[in-house]
Amino acid sequence: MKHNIYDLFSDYSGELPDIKEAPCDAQRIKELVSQGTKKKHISITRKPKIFVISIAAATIAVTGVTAAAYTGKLSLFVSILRKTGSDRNISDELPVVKDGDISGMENNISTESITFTGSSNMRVRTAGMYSDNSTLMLSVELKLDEHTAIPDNALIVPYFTKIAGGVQTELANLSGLGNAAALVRGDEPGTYLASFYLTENNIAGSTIGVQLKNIVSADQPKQTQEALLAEQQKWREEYGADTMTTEEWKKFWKEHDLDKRTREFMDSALKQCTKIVEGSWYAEIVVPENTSKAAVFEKEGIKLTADTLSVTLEVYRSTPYGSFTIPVITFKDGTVVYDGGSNETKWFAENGVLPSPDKCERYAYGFSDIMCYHKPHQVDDIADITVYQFDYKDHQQLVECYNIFRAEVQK
Amino acid sequence: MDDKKLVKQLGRKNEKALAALIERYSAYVSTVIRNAARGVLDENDVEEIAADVFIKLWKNSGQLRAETLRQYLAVIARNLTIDRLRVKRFSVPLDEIKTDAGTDIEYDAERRLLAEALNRTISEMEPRDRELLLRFYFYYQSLPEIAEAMDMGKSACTTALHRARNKLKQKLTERGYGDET
Repeated sequence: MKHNIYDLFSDYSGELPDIKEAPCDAQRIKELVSQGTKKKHISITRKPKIFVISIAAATIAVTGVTAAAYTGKLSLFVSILRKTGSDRNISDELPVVKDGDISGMENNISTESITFTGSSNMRVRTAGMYSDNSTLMLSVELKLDEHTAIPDNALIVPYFTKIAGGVQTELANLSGLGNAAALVRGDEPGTYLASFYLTENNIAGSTIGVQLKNIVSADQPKQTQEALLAEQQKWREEYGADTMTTEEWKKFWKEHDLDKRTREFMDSALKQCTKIVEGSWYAEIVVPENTSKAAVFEKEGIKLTADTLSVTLEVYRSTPYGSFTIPVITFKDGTVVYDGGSNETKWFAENGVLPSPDKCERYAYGFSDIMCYHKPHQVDDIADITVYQFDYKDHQQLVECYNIFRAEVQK
Repeated sequence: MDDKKLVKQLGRKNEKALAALIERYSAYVSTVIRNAARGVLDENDVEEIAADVFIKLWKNSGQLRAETLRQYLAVIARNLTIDRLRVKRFSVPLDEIKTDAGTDIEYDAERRLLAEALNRTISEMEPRDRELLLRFYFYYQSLPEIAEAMDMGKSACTTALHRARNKLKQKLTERGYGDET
């Protein structure tokens, strides 16, 4: 066989002659090194998931557990929770929300019926909600003229505001099409259900303005999202984002209010959408006070706040562009809550992070570094929290994964 | 602060020591990378590879020796560049030596032994031959660059390199590797 002599010099360990050095941008190299060595964090925007809410009868068939123990609106809401959970479970055969979970959830559930005001072609009222300090899951019931034709998986578009001292502050950057929720037929003709997640620190006890606008077809958000990504790529090229560090680009984004331009783009896209039902409906909802106590895990610039229904990850450092972090929580009963796409899930599976499927649970939803559970998890039951960082090149090629934080609770 | 103190501080994860070493060695590391890249990687790639070199330095800071720091940086820079070229499917220079290994396992084992033999052989060669070979095979310098660096005429440099290369192959053959071709 043949050996390449050049390759043999790869293992050379002796002295080397001096060579004439050409200048370089040492500052730029320092910045790249700094990003690489500190394993910093970039705040990721998780694409909101759309949840399919089923009617009670269908849900009972899926889970095999009756909702008879719960009456009236609670029964309906329990069925929504069950379907919401199973829709995101790694196995459709596993009921995520069990009777025991529901009973543990009663303190977090409100079934107050609030009627929306707005266009007369549809009546809207709340079906129920559950919440903690950082997340709200809100279900609504829609009543249309039974002769109005609604295709499967049509979407309704929400906008959220927080109201304090008479001032409305817009919530969630991707309000609108990005948060659109699928409609699922209810028991009564012309009745539909939809459900929305909202994440916001200190949401408990606050007043939230919920505006629903228009029903659109299922393919509209995807098309709009693709158009938005193309538009944002144009901004990156126009402003030379590739020549900036992550911090510089984030600063530039803020200074030029590209969030506002994103919203304007989405609003404009919504106006151009084909509407199945056109109208606007509004209600103000007071999120129940939360009596549960959150647990805080903090060290080396990373802070995790675990609540009953969600966990909030804050990292006061920055990471290379294209990297993101996932907290993985192990509870004392062996349940592991995690999230991730195919690359991350494969990595977790291959590196022994995930237990048997019946002990695995994905986050139900995540936005702005707040991840929501499907069901309550008491903070006293946490055994271990590990935060993994995934470094990507060009947003596609997984380069490296490692844990950047671990907190083990003393038993 | 000299390299010895900086390496000691680096072992204690002192970021200022890392910054000082980047300041001191980034031009050298970048030059090694540019040579090995032979013009097919752009300056962004060079900077990224240079950063990767210093990140490796940081990660391995507990095992470093100041006396061999420069070689360490050069080897890492050179090898990361070759890796990058292969990932990008650029061709890498080839100059082969034939051996008797038949299987992949034999090949890998033999390659390690051969590399050790090359280290010993290089260290025993005449200083001028050693420098010629290191500039050509390790740094990937071109003949004109080598001629200029060693203050030689181009044709003299070509001839000297040819002879040094033959001596290297001959020495390796004497140690049981390669053949006379």
